[in-house]
Amino acid sequence: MSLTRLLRRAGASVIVRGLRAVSDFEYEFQMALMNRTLAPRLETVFLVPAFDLTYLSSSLGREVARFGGDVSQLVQPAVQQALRRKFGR
Amino acid sequence: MSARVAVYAGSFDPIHNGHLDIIDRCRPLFDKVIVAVLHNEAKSALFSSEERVAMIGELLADRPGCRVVSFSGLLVDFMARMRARTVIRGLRAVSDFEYEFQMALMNRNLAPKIETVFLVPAFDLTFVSSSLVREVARYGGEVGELVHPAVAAALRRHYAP
Repeated sequence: MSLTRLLRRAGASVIVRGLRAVSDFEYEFQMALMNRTLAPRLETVFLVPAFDLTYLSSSLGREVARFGGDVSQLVQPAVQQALRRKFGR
Repeated sequence: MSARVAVYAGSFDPIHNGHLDIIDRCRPLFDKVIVAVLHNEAKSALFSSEERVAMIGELLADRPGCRVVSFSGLLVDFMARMRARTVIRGLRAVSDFEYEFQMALMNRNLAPKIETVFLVPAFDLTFVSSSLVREVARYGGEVGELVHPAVAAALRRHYAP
């Protein structure tokens, strides 16, 4: 299901996105403008995470977990366990 | 529940259609929108803060829930006086980002409960800035597509030979 259709079904009018770094920006900008084209009343709102978490991404978290690195500072314990199970460590 | 108050802060020297677009995007999201005009002694502005407030006030007259106030000093102190917790900023381009990011984190450092929320203006207004509008108007260029007619008239008066 497309995001715009999901939002319409949920009765939501705001999409929340996090902005961590300049590198996020171009893609996010493109997405916000495309979603506005699809659904003009949907507003995309950007929030800035805590500074000490701005370097964190799911892909980097997976990468670290895959090679057995400690991700306890980065994810909740339940997620850490799930990663451990997934990567057999 | 207390009213959701947004403060849209900036120099607005002068207010342009990109600013008005952001204000109109805020209106359905918040109960009140306060346009906060920065009165900066150190920075020489084209329009005085009184002129800017008057101009913006005129444009907000048909926008219920919106009002304009000028402030000086720290934004976070102004926010506390207004009992507002959300700062609105527009994001037009990558070049805005670095400074905005720094400001958002500094304001959070000063006042942890204040959240900065970024909105994207209409695509066809992403190139508009007050400094560029001033530059074009200074040399007699057409700014009718970029600002409200009242602002265009004020610019014309200002740069009249």
